[in-house]
Amino acid sequence: MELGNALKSRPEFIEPKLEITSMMDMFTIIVFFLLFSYGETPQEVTMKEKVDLPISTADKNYKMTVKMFLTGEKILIEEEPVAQVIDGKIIGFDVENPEQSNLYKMLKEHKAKQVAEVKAKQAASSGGDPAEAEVPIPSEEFSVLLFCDRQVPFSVLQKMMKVTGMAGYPNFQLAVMEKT
Amino acid sequence: MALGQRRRKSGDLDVEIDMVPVMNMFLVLIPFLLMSANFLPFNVINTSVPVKSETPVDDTPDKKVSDIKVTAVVKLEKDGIYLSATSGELAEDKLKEMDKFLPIAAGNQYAYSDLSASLDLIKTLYPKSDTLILTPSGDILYDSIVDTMDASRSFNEKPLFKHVVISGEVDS
Repeated sequence: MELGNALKSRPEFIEPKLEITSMMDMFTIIVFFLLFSYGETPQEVTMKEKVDLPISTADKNYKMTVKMFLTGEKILIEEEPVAQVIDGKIIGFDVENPEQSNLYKMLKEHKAKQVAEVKAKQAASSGGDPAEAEVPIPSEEFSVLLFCDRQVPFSVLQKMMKVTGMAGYPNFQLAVMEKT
Repeated sequence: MALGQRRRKSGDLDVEIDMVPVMNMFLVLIPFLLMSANFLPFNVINTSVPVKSETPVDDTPDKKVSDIKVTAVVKLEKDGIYLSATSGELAEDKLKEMDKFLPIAAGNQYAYSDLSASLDLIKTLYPKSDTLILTPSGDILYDSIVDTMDASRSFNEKPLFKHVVISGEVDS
């Protein structure tokens, strides 16, 4: 009987309401932040190979070009292995005859592709005028975005840079981790 | 009067917007954007390899010292840093004055701050200078090369040599 009275005197049950306005605000901020940060980066760079990049004070943003990876064991161009590195020596690379190396041939292929693309763009912008379409391509256009492991000795890096320069890519963008 | 009452009553209606579909959309959108966003915080250092070119020799008489361009040469060896300078507009004895050897410090650390200070002196004397040739020996690690480039680029927020060219001799 006493229990019944207690139940009767209990306040009326109010259905709980989930306040989602603040959650919506948070989600909206996150979505906008992600959309803007996504738009700022030129293109995504994926690193399948383990490359321990050096830390630097450099603050320059990168320009997407031909990507090269130099780990302690191999050299990759656009994630395709082109040469093996064993005990600081590039396998299949002859210093006297670098043009015969796989690395050189692959870079030449990339360069030919890039030149064709730039020429097609120039032709499209000139509206078919042959004089305007024959503008020489500045050498700054041909650079390599290099991801090199911090433990790689200069002897390996120098050989790779020499071949890359010979293949028509004299400029390098050395990828480094931002100093925090 | 009657119309006013009716308006007031309709205004009292509690209209609720169903936010659940919007929330669902956000819940799908956020993981998608998180996955596609690039969180690899890397920057780049621009450099180049030496290229053969025909540079015209500037033989203007009575050139002001502040207009003279000097190219700094940094040799990175196992025992330390060898600094020298080269220029077609300066006498050999003047260039020799800039030669310096910075031995490796305790803990196998290069004297990067001393290098920056020495380069700052050259830059102060010849402010038009902006090119540095870096010549590491074969056994020098890439990490040390990048640190040397950092030391050559700026000193106490002051820009030094912005164009760094990497060069070297390879023994097969």
